[in-house]
Amino acid sequence: MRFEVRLFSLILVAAILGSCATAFWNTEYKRREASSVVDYLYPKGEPAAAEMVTHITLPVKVGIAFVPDGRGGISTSLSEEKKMALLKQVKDVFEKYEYVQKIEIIPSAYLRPRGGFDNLQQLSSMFGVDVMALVSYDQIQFDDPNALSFLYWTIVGAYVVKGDQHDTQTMVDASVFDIHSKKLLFRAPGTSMIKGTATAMKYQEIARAGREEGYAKAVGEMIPNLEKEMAAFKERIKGDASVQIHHRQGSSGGGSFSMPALMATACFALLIAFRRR
Amino acid sequence: MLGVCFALICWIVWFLPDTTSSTLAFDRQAIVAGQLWRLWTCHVTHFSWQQLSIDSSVVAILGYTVQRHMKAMHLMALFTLALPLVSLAIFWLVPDMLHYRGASGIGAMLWMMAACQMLLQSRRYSAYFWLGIIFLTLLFAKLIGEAFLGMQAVSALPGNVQVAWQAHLFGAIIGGMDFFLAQCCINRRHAAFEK
Repeated sequence: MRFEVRLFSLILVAAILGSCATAFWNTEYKRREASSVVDYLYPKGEPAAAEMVTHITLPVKVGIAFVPDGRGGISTSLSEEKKMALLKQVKDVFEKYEYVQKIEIIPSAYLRPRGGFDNLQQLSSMFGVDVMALVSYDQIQFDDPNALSFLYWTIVGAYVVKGDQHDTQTMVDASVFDIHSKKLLFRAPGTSMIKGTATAMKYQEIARAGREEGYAKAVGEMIPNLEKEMAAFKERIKGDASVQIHHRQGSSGGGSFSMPALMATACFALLIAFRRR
Repeated sequence: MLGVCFALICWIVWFLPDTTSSTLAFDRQAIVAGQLWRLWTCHVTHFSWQQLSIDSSVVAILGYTVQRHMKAMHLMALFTLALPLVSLAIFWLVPDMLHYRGASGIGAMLWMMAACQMLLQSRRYSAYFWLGIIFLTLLFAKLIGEAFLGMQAVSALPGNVQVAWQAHLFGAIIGGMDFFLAQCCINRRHAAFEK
């Protein structure tokens, strides 16, 4: 009889511990946050803007912003501060170019989800920008328990054993639009893949850090692509009749002589030398 | 040799990375923010290879020619003063101009000085006197063409950059003023010596 009680007690304890462990033992889990530039600019699914000539006035004034996501502009892993820091990196790319007069980082609060080009026009008026660089993102994070996760049933294992692994795939894309003509001038993508493991107790914290790192790495990869695309765009518009470049009155000035002036100078110097002899 | 050295610096700056040469160019916002070195350095930066080659050649040739008639220290002091003066003139008198690059302000200064030397140091109505007149007329014609007729063709600038004729005008004024001040000093010394 005593043996049966002991056996029953053992089974009961094992069952209680096991059921506790299932609280930590996640099955496969997927988390996604995304914002789409198409959803933002074409909320009613209207077709792309009709073909028209794009007039770009140099030096250009550029606005940079994250595209709000479709759920009300809230990205759970990216705080406004983090977004600003990432957009600052994009701003630094534009700042290198002398034909960019001003770059404004536009806070998310000014972008209405599914605001369309009407929202862009408002931003253009408010911030005085002609061109808008919209950074959209798509991040998906998978969480899979690994073989060590069976140790979670010991309770202590949930604190010390890294039985959860996450896999975070991020894509960011900077699309540069001329606000007036609604034309996409160029775009540059960046992707990243972050993998890591965590204990059950620390998983949320580690996974959040992984998501933030994913954004940072993807933006870091996007920067050189953006520089390449800007250089390519500069070359492309030379032969593209649909993009016309204008200059603000007196924006850039250069002092220069001409070839005849150089020849006159050379003749003058020769005559002076001849006179000396 | 100062003109040649100046031209060489222009070429060295041309081969520097874009980010470095951009920090040397005239940028109104940066100057307002305290980057005052741009007042000196903007004259050694250029927009295009063609602009650089013509401007630096003009400065080298005219610098060499002018220096034969004046002390090197005088020319060096003049360069040191003229560089920021031309930039400041653009800064205050042409508020629309946000960016400026080019050595032609200095070129115009040397051009004016060379023409004045030719005019005032030759016998009146001699061939060299008339040559000085022609040289001076060419400078005025360039200034008038750029200022009033919008003649972009008389410069070697890329299509997206306007001619900063004001820099040429201020350079020419500084060159003329320096020449006449120097002449006044020489005349006073002669007068004192004769007394």
